[in-house]
Amino acid sequence: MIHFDFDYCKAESIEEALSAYNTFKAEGKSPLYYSGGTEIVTFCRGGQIKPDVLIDIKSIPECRVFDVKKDTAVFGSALALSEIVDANVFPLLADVSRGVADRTVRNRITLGGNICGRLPYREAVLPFLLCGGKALVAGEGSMRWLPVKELFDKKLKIGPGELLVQLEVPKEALSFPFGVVRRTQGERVSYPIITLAGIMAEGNVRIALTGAFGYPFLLPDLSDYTEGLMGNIPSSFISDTWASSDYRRYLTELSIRQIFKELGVL
Amino acid sequence: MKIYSGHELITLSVNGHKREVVIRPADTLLRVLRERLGLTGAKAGCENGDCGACTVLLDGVPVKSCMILALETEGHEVTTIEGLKNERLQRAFAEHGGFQCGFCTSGFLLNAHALLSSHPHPDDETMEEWLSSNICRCTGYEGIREAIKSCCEEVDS
Repeated sequence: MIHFDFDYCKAESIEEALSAYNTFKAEGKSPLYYSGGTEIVTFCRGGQIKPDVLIDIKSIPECRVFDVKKDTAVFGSALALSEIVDANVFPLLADVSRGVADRTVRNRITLGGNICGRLPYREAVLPFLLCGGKALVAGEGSMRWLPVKELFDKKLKIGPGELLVQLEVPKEALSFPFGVVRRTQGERVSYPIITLAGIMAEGNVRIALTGAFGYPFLLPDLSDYTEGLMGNIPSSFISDTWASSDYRRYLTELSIRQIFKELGVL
Repeated sequence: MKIYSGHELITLSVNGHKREVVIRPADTLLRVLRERLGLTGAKAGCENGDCGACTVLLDGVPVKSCMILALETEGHEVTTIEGLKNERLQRAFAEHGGFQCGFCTSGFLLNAHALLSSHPHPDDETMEEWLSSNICRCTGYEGIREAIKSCCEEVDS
């Protein structure tokens, strides 16, 4: 049960959502964009967040796009992860998404929610980081495409009131060979300790990971797995009840090697 | 754009019937089903999206009703365990010992019902992927799997 009240509205267009956000903000309220809701409902119930208004964006057509165009593949931010897994249009994204939560929860968790949420995992961003993806972000009076690797600088660089609308990758990325490694404490359905994904890029291996530092991280392209941790990544591995920083570092080394194996270069 | 605030009268479609109900926007579907509509088949287990005891079908898709606002389901069809009547799957759960204390059963049944509707002959990997959304603390997983498999075999024969 959620022990406090909030208002709720359903936006039918990007303009309506942005306008509602700014209006509520001007009234001194704290609005939140809302899509799958799994994280927001859970955090509201636990008292970690207390929004005044939820602006539901999942009826906005641009946020529901799922399209392979001539040169790109476009994914709306309000697509449920299960939709992406079942369609398997972008196998790397499908494989990474399959590891998030469980099937029934993935029927609600959305692509944008996984990337913009408060939980640090954000696994669904890895394929876009690896494949030169772009993100369409809507703000008051502007729509801008920016490289996904510029989306994170330790923190998500989407401003208050801005809305993640779509993500896209070049069409050739849909058929890249890839490897995905997800490490949990033991159970298959559990929060990950770390998640790594890798592709072959111009003869080298390109790897991105989450869970290690509290933000997604793209390694420089590697020609050998032993280069993986040699000065290429921050030293500040997270240490928490799930895993110590030393164990996370060990798992990361192990997983980089496994990605090389999965890609057939070891 | 309509803003829902305070207490609102909305119409939900549950098990094929239109039901008018007064809710708060912050009410989860689980709480509305149990406390406003008297449909107590969906169980409040963890209320954290982990156990699956509150699973219902939303337009035929299994979802955890503790993680959805009731308002979101307006205009959609909700199916609870009370909406499944004398399904072969329900009898199979009884025949194969698919439940012990019964607390998880309604969630498992609805999830399995959706699984068989979309995959009449699921392979082990698919079945595992779907069923891992639900937890049985009596650990009666084998009976549940056998019950579901028996329904697949019946279709085959």
